[in-house]
Amino acid sequence: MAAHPTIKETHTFIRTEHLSVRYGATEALVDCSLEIPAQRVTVIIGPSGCGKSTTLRCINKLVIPSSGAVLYEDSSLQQVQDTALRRKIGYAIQSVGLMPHMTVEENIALVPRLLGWTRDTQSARVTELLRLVRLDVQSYRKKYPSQLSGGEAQRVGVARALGADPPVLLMDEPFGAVDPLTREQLQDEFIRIQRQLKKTVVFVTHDIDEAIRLADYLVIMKDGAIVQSDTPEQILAQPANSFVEQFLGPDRALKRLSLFTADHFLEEPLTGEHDRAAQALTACDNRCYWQLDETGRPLAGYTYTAEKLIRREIIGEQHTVREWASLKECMATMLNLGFPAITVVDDLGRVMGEVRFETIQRISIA
Amino acid sequence: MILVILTTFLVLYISSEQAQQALLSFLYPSAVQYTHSRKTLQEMTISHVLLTLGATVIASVIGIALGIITTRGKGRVFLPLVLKLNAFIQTFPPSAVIILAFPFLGFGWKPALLALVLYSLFPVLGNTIVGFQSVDPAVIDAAKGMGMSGWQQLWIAQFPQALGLIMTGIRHCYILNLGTAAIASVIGGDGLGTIIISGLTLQNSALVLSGTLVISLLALIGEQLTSLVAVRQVA
Repeated sequence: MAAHPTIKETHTFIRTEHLSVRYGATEALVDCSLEIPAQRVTVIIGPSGCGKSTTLRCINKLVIPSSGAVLYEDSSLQQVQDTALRRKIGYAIQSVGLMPHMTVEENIALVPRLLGWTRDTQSARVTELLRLVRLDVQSYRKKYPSQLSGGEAQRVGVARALGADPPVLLMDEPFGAVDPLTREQLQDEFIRIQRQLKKTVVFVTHDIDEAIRLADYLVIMKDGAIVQSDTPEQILAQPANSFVEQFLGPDRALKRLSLFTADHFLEEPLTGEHDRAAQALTACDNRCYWQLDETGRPLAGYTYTAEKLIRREIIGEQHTVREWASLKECMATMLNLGFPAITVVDDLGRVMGEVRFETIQRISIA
Repeated sequence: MILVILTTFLVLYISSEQAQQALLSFLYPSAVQYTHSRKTLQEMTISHVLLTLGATVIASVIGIALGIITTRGKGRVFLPLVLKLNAFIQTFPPSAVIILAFPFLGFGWKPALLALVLYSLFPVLGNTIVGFQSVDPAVIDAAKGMGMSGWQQLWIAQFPQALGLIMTGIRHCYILNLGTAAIASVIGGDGLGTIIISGLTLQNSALVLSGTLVISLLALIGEQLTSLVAVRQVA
């Protein structure tokens, strides 16, 4: 039913045990125990100074904990030196940190170069990675970081983090410094890449929408401690305390709807080629009737409002959704149409089924 | 191109006494002599260049090494001390250093070299420190996070970015030495100071100009050479 793969069907990749970090008198991290699921996206979120970046930097040993430990459950990360460990853990940060004196190609090939790959293997890997992040190989290869836009630089940063195909990827607000439109594109790209590569990702952000969009496992932190950790669906449905509730915002019910896709909630619609709505509907059952053309595309919808039968024409994309639309989009489309249901259509615009308001209501209560 | 013209002109001028005479007699028709009586201009130029380059190389090596040590890891503690000491050394007049070093190092080029190295350390050290400090901390963080060792961070990430400023420092150091090396002749070190000081004592402006002209040409050539390195680094 959920849109995200569950974290229960995988093993723990990295475990932090009672991790504490102290800088002089300030405690950056207090007794932080966390299990990071393999091949899933773990998003750590919280207000600034909550210790989310510190947790991340403990994992690749850029920060040494005052007490507690990071345990690498996966054998690929065990018994290696700090530098060797970091070469197996991709690292992407908000300010990207591309070497300004090196080309895009040289930047992406940095870790392979440190690992002593041959020139040909390095070059082939760069081509592969530029394709993966959808940058034109020929035109970007020889560019310098100063010639890139913020979004492009961030793509190169992600490509560089993936340089030597590490099993783990640490991302510290990687999309924080770009405009909202670019950020959304980068998130889409990230989801696409992650579906393809299935890395163990630890992603730090302060943007709750980004967190809900990307997380398989959501960790909410405050003042150096973990407040709640669970799947986003579960956290949105049952916030542990008023802080989490506040952090999720007053529209958390709507946010939660963005985690479910329409194809899981299709219901059999009342349809017909002719205008027989009056016979099909009764004033009290709150249903819709869809008039279709000969190919199965919706032409108009009928429903009772205040005991009066009303008819509305269905205008393509404004009044229908595709099967991968989230329930939040379904809800918005319902409001556009003013009906208690909307039709879900396929590639050719033919009706596959309908999503009803009562379904959405049921999920929100559960 | 400019480099080739300057070098050709310099070589022609120092190797031919006729050329020196022709040029100088045009400017100073009444001068008694146009060349130094004991040494040729060529000899003086060579020892001047050797002294200058020697001092520049030594000052650069010391300056860059100190700059690297004081901008990373535990060496940072010494940064304020080194900077203050360096500024203090810079205030020593080279002539005073030569006199003070004379009892230990005797006559000749050695006290001159010491004076030059101390005097020209400041620009290299200062620029090396600024160069390393100007490297974006995010770049260093990324380099560390990628798994670079301390040396790799220095060599791959930081040094190339600081190189532009370091080269400026070395150029500055070279020019400073070129001019100051003239005082070497007061302690018996050779160099173009010999002809300049002779000119001054004999009140012969032609001799002074001859030495100064060569120094200026050397300065311009040095400038061209170092900017070649800098340009290559940017491109």
